[in-house]
Amino acid sequence: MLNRRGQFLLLGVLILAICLLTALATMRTPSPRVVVPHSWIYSAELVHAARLGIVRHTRVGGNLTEHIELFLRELYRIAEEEGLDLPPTSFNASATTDDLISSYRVIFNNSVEIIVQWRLKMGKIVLIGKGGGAVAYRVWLLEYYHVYRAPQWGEVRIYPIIWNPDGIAEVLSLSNGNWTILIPLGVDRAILEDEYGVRIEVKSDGV
Amino acid sequence: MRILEAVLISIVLLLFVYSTTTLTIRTPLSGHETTASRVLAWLLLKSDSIVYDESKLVLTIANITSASYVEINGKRYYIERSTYTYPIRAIWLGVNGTLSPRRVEIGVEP
Repeated sequence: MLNRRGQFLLLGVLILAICLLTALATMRTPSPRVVVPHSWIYSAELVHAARLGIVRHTRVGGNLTEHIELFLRELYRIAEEEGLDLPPTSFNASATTDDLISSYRVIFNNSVEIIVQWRLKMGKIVLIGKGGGAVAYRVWLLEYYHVYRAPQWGEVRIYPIIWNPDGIAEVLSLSNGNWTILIPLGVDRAILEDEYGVRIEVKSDGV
Repeated sequence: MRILEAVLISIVLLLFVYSTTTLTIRTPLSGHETTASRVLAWLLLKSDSIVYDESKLVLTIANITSASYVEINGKRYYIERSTYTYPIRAIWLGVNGTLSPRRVEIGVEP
C-alpha cells in the first residue's frame, strides 16, 4: 500500500493523463459515427431530386411540388432499403415567370436550395446566307444558370449546356451562361433543352 | 481523509475511462472517405446521366479518388484489391425528369 505521498503522486499522474487525453481529443474534429457523416451526399441528393422535379415540370407541366415529392419519396424509399438514415425534410417550391424572366426555386428546411433561372432578351433581325440565299433570323439573348446552395459547400453556380433538339434554332455559346439563339422568322416557337433535360420555350413574342 | 482520497481517485478514474472511451468512438472520417463523399456529391450535382454510362462513372471515380471498387446496382467493378474498405453510397434517381434509380457504392480504404 502506497504512503500518502505515493497516493498523491498517483493522483497527479492520473490527472496529467486525463489532461493530455482531453487536449488530444479537442485537437481532433469530433464526428461520431452514430450520426450520418456524409452530409455532402445528402444535400446533393436533395438538389438532384429537386432538379428532376423541375425538369419534369418543364416537360409535362402540372404541379411542381408534386413532381418533387415523387422523387423525394423514391429517394427515401431506396435510402431505407439501403440502410441509409436520411433525416426527414420539407421544402417550399415556386415557379415564376415575370416578363421574360423565368425562375424555379426550391428551398429545403435544412438550408439546401436550388435555383434554375433564365432571362430572355429579344434582339434584332439578322440575315444569314444559306443555300445560295439568305435566311432571316430573330436574335435572342439568353442568360441561363443553376445555383445550388447548401451549408456544406456554400454556393455553386453551374452554366448548363443548351441545345435545340429539333434543330430549328441555332444556339451559340458566349460565356458564363450567356447564349445567342437564332430563330428563323416565321417560326412561332422553339424549344431549347439543357443537359439536365430542362426545357425552355422561346416564343416569337417572348416566353 | 482516506474516504476523501478514495472519492477523488474514483472521480479521476471515471474521467479517465470516459476520455479514453470518447477518443475511441469519436474518430473523424479519414481523408479518403471525406474525398470520396465529396466526389459522389459533386457528381450528383454535375450530372444526372453519368451513372447510366457505367464505364465512364468508374473511370471518373478511379481517376479522382483512391477507391477500391465501384458498385452500380449490385454490379461491382474492382479498381484495386483491398483488405478492408468503408462503403460510401449515393442514389441516382433518374434522368430527364424520369424515374430510373441507380444505387452507387464506392469502397474506400479508411
